[in-house]
Amino acid sequence: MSRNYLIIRFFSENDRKGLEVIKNIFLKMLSNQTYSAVLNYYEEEDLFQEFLATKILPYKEHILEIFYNQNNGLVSYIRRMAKNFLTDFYISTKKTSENEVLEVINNKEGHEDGKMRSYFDLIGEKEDHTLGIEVEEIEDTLMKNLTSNEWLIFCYQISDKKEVYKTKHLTELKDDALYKRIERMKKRLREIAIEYSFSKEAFERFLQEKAQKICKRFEVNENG
Amino acid sequence: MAKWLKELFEDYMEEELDDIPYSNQTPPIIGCIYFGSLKSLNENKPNKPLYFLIVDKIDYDIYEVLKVSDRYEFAKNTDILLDIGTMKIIIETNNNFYLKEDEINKFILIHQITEEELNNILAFRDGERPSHLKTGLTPLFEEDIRNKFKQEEFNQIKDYHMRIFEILAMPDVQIVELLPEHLHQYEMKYAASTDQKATYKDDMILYQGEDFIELVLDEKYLNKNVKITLDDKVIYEGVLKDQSIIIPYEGKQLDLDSLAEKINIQTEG
Repeated sequence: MSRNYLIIRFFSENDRKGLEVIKNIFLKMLSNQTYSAVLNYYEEEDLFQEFLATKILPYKEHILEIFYNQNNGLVSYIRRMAKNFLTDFYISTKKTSENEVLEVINNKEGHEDGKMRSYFDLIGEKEDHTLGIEVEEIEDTLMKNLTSNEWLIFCYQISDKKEVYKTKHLTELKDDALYKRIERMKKRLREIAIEYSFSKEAFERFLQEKAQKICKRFEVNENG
Repeated sequence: MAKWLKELFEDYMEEELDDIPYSNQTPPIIGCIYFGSLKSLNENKPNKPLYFLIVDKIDYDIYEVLKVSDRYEFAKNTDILLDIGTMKIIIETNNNFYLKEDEINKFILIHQITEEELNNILAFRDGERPSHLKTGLTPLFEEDIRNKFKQEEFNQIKDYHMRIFEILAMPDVQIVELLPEHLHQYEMKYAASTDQKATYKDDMILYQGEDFIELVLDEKYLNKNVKITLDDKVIYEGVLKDQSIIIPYEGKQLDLDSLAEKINIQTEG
């Protein structure tokens, strides 16, 4: 009997062999080098039960209706569903800070429905959560990658108090040299933005909400 | 972000389906999302997943579709994120292509969006930005992985996107060339400017223009195999793709009633 047929039998007659086929497809996907990273945070069985509870069982009749008369494609579709589901968890472990991931996992029991919480749950809670995470990523990345001199030029470039910078920090720098430093700074920022695939929206918010605070240290004088 | 997004992109580039999903019964429905393999369209293509949403019927046999992907992690600001229950998908509003009915038949209908969702998607494509639609973010540079994803998505269906040029090159009307002698016998000897320019007969209209005769057939013949004869001479045979048939003719005013009497339309098959 084909795997396609066994899955259909699970949907139509609750045949356990079909469930085993679905589980095997799921576990095979989970053993993939990329997606296995989620096992650092979640248990294999928990993930499968969540997949079953949120993606398979509620849509059993719908899937059966789609594939009942097809001899092919169901195995591929279940595999796509598994990958799609795991991507959600994969991103949650990558995009969210470690504390947030733990918070999400720990909150599982406290939640009314007892469901595991994923990346999309976080988005649901706070609409621009992904954007917020990316803004934090930009801050962390620039903190790690820019020297204090590069920060100075970055802050000078975005500041509307350029004279303060010139009189306090860049006194000995001629215009020509300043221009070259700005160009180098821009190139550096571009390299970082490309390497980390930062979005326009996140960068704009970083400039509005974070950069001003970071740059304040260059703008206040010794007396406060 | 980059490292893990790169990992997912590598996975996307390498992935293939376990089997070749095919359907033998799915008629095209506007507003439906279909799933299948790229290989079903072309044997020489890899067995990669292919999803699309039908947004319009643009000719008797050609549908405009938007590419859909289940790799929502690469969503850009031009993509609409949609949760269809079994999975999360993106509708790539700037990645359209064209498929024929027999090609769509090979794909499996997996979801039907609402009329409102379809209208929102089309409005978004036309530049409106309904605030409740969820979209991806805007890459800052061309080298961004999300742009590489879009490029690859386009490459997969490029041949079918280019079909628009074939469609545009198709004539709008069916033209039938007739020798002048076939129509001379219907010329009126004494024509006046007040002579009738059109006549009606059962299921057709005959109209004489300055340099053409137009035959407008009843809608019931559309997409049917028809045979049209004039004085027992076959002037058109085949599937009727348009209700209008043009016969180029420069000459005197014709006796349209007599001409109409001699035109016979038969459906075949």
